[in-house]
Amino acid sequence: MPKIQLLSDEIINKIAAGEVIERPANVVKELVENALDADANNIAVELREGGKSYIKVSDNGFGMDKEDALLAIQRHATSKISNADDLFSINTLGFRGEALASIAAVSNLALTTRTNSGDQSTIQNIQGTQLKTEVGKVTAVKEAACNPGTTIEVFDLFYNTPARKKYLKSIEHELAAIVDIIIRYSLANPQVSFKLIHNDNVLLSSPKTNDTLSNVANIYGRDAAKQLLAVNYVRDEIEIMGFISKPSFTKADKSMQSIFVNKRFVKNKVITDALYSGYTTMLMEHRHPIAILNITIDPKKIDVNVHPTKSEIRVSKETELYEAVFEAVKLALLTTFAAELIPQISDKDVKNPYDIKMEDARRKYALESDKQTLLESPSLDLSQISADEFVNADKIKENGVDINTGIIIEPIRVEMKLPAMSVIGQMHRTYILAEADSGLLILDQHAVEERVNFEEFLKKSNKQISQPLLKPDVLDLTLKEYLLLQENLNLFLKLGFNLEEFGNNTFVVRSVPILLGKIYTKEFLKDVINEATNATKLTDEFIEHKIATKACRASIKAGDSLTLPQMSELLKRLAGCENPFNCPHGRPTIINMTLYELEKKFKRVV
Amino acid sequence: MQLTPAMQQYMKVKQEYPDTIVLFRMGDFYETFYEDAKTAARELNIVLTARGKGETRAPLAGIPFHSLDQYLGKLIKKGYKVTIVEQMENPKFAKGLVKRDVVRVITPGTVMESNILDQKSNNYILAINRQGESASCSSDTQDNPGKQNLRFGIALADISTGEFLVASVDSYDKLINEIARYEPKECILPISLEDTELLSQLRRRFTKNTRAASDNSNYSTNLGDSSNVVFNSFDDRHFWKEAAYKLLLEHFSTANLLGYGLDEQNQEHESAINAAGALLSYLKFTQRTSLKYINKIHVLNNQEYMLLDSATQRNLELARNIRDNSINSTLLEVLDKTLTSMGSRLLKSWLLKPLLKVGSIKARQDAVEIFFKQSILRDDIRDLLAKVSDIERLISRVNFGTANARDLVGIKNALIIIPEIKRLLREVKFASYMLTEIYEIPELAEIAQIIETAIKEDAPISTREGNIINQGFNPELDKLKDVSRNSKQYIAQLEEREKEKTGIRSLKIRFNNVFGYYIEVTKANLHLVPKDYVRKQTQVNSERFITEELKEHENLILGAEEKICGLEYELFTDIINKISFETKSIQKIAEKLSLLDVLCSLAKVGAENDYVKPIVDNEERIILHDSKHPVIEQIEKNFIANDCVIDKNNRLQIITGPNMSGKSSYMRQIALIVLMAQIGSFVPAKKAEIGVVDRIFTRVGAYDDLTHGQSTFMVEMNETANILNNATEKSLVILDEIGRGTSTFDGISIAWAVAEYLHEHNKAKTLFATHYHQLNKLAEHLPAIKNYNIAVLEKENDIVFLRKIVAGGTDKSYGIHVAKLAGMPETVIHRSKQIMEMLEVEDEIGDRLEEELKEKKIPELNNEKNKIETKFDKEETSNKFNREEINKIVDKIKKEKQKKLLEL
Repeated sequence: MPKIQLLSDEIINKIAAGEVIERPANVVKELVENALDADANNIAVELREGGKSYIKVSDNGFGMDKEDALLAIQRHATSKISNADDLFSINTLGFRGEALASIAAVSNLALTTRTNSGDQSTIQNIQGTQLKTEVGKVTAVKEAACNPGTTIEVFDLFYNTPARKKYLKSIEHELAAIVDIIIRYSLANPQVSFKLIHNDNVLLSSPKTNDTLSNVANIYGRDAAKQLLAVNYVRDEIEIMGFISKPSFTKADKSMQSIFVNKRFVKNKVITDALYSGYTTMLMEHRHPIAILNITIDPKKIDVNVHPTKSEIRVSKETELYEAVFEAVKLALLTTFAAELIPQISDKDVKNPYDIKMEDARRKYALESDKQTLLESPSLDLSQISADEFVNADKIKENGVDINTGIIIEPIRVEMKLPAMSVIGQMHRTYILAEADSGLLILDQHAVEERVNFEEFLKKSNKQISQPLLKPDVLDLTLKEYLLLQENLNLFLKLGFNLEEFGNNTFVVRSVPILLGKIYTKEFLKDVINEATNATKLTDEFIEHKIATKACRASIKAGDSLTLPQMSELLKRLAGCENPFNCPHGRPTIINMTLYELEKKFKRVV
Repeated sequence: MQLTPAMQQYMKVKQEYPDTIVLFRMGDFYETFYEDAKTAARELNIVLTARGKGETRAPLAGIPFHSLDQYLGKLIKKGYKVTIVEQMENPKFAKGLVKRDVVRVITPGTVMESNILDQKSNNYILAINRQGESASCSSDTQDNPGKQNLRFGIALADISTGEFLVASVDSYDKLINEIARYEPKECILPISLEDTELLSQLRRRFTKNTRAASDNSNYSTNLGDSSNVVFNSFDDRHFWKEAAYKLLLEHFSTANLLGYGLDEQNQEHESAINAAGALLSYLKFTQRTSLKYINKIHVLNNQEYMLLDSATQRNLELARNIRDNSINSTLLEVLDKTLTSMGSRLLKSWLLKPLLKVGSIKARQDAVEIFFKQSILRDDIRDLLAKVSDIERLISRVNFGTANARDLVGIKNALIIIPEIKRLLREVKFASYMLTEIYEIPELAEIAQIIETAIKEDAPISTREGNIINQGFNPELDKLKDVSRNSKQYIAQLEEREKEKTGIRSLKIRFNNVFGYYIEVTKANLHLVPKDYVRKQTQVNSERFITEELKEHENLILGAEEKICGLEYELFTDIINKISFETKSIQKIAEKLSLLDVLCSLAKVGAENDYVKPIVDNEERIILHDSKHPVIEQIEKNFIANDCVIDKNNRLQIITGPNMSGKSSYMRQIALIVLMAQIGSFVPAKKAEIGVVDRIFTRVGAYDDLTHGQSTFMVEMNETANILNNATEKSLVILDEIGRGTSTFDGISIAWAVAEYLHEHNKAKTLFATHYHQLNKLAEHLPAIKNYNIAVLEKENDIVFLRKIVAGGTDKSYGIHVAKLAGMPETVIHRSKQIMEMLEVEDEIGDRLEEELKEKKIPELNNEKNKIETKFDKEETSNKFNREEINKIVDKIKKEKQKKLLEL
């Protein structure tokens, strides 16, 4: 019969390591966090073969003396917490005292370090220590010449755990994961300069800067940076700073979204949901904004010790957080002049500079020494983008928010106003042309109609009149849908639905809001409920919007010829809308071409 | 001997320009004759043939006219002067002898051709004028009486950029420094100096064996590779004051030169004025054009720029490295991230002319800081600068008459980005004085407009063959093109009609260069050919005919095409004139764009490498915190940072320590950082406070100058002498192992005495590296001397170089350790250790020296005006310690040791 035995330290380490260290990216993350905790402002990462054969992270932080260095590679040894209470107010990124030990357990490691303390004229204090380990066992300790700070080299990761080594993916894949990590950290820490080198090619070089936007430009490229709006928001004990992209600039995926809580990169649904909600209908469906947000919360309010990789956090007051992010995003969108939200004719799409596809991964690694981004986004003709695209610090200030300190000087509610315009005519029964002071405006009449209908529906929705159905409808729902409907019944009732429980996972519908009228179908309601279940937060606003969106989509008619008065009328109604710039699905209603651009195109200016 | 009229024409030219190779245009070739032909054939690898018969048979070698630039390059590179003689009229219309004239004499210093010029460097020609008595010109020192009035006037010009500089210096050494600084390709001197010591010294110093060296086919034809100076003579009368001054006034259209800072009443300016006038005269004589675009004189002021002697320029590897003279691993390479050639040239000149005034330095710093912080703005500007071509040189070509259509497109491309640059600068234009100035850049929108509308983007290089002007620019031109086009159309249609008319289905109308347009009919159809066809050519299977109608239209076309070429050339010239009119503005634009380029380059390098903005003032101190060597840190990843503290009371650092430990790098790093600060750049350190230094002296390395007839030690003594004679308390002195090139005793003695002198007399800030640890004793007696060493950790049989400077002296040089590390056989190492013990004489010498020092009083030093003689004269060693005495002591000790050894 097999006997239960205590495992040796070596094995314990290996197992624990397995939890934390699964791939080179984990190693890099842990080491970079250590460097940041050591107050370094210069962090360089060098890799070979995606990190599979060699990883080096060097920093210019506090460093360690010889005794500390020897202790550091032991398990459960850390400088970052000393008693249990500390766990509840974690200010550092690393705290478990496990990372180095775990890494050492599955590799050959060399640690070279030197502190900056003590009289710099005595030999004891200017000499560094270098120690080497093989799978966790110290094999050499000696003096070495080095600058203050720490350098850790990891050779042949997982060479002693072949199973894990086999599980590693291709070089490109591993490298991509590391690039992601470095990007996150350099975004969160503009005052730290980061360098990432792979097989002697410089992939990322982001010097330290006080200007957060410059930092973003260094990492994501200037083209992306010019499409960003600043976010600065403080409320109670939550502070949110960073950038989000203009609603007209979105991506097909979420790759350029980085959320940090207390400088730690995290994934949290509450925050993400609030982000999207903040855009309301300005985002096209299935499009994702660029977002770099740093949220500072009292450390006592979050629990970081949830997931081994510390990437998930639990928040104690979710509602507070949700509302804060929501408002921050909304405010950022509003404190920009309305005109800037209208896309220019010459706007081009912005790609994520770091999209590494497996096939062309190799080609994209080489970086010319001048460029700081991994890949150049498709060359954007700079002369096409006017300076007004770029959010101006002075403008922000004028609106009561100091871009540097993020403090709202006076909260201001700016209404998004449609510029004054006079109709010129209709084109192809689809577009309305109008003249404004700035130049030519072109409106999509369908989008305009949708928006107008949508808002009218919303306005009227407060006075919901119910219309009884000819025949009560039975709704068969999934458990989730059923529970959701149960929980939020009064929201639906408010909107004019008459719903009643009707057995297991079933509801019956007796009447619906009159505005929905003929377009109401059982499927329609199910759709709405379905969408609602995917959101964590349900408000009547949310449901209203969902309904309105669907409603007006269903009410689109074919293109009509419009007379001048009809067009003017339509535009007047549009001007009365709260958000005249997008249809409910996020598509723009209006685009413009400035006089300057026209002149350029006609070569009236050189 | 009766020569043909053409040859007479040739001889006349040759007489006027005897010391040049004359390229005589004859038809499609440039021909050389007689001796020139032989030279050309040899140097250019072309065929040597002959012309004429009998007595008048002349050797001949020619090159096709379209290859001129290429062969020209080869000749110029080899140091020849070339005279170009062109046909001044179309030979077709000439009656009798074709008129010919010299259009230009091209010399190494007056090159305009872009394929010969090095983009990143200026191409200078320098004129020297000497004033004042002097029998010999070897290392004159200021002390020799009768040479008080010696003065060298220097004038420099780069006709490819339009620069014109003058300066004057008061010693031969300084003359050498300036020549080294500017690296001119050609130097002209008055004929009267032809056989003097001065010229032969200069030749020895600056010319390699031109002809022999250039036979080496590894040399490229690019002038940038050679550091050879060609010395040419020019008639003395051009150097006479009246003539020179008058010419200058005339050329610069001014009543006097006071506006440029030159006072003809001032004795000190005279030689400069003479040189300037002579240079201008030479340029006009050779280039035969007005050179109006050279429109200002820049006087080089010693108060403005740091004097960098040639040794320092070389030792610090500012623009050329010591190994292979290229730009690799130099400070310039690290700092030069400019995007335009003119920016590159400007940066190089900034590097070689560090500033002395704190105000000017701060002005540059402030501008750099803006771009340092605002990376988005900087990169946006750089994107625009990348589109800018070398308009500094282009506008010179326009003025010179050698510009082509592509050059104009280049100018246009630079002009069109200006509004955009201004827009970008709008936010920051008041942030710094320099930026405000740059913002005032002229826009010249009309010029850009004209070029844009008129000139085709893809125009050919030639200006007389049409295809330059856009459609729609000139109605007359368009009409002519229409005619040409229509006629061609007509002829194409003619084919159909003729086919119809004659019934010959296979009839074709074709074209070749010999006959023009013709009708081709196969033999089979000959019987169908109408009577009005005129037979022109018979082929194997066909016959070629022309008709009147055909020829009529052909003439229309030809006529039109000729007119088109002529008209296009006219229009082109017109545009050239309009541009030329704006030369000053364009030069200003070039100036401001290159300034912007340099500022952004310095900012970018600073940002990417974590540089810091140094505090620059007139305080007498240099404090650096965690500084690194700007060049080495790029290569060595683990470069150890070091601090440095030098001030009035700690102004001489004696640095000891083993070889290879980093002493040299450390000292050079300090010098480089000071220099970088004084050109307005940021520096590689965490913190830097730098008091402006008036000169940087370096005495580093064992540079063997055998080719110039000087031994290592001699060179060392020369350079040291220069330092001791010229360093002031505001200077920075770097000394690396003085006394190495001679025996130990002499070495220690000289080193000791030099250190004392620098401490007492010059009071300059000095970093003195030495392996004579006896010098550590100086610190005990001389208050401002401090000992430092490079920390080395000793463990058992191993040493670890920590590469950190720490206070205190060392008495170990670890030479044997290093030998061991280098892999010397164990027996050798063992034996060395034995010998060393036996020879611990050095220590005893140190003690003896100290005793001597205590006995003789220090203040005596101050009273003596000792100078170190340049020629090491054993008899005249003015050191404190008599050599005889030292020898006696050493002998005594040696005998004692030997006795001990024998006893073993």
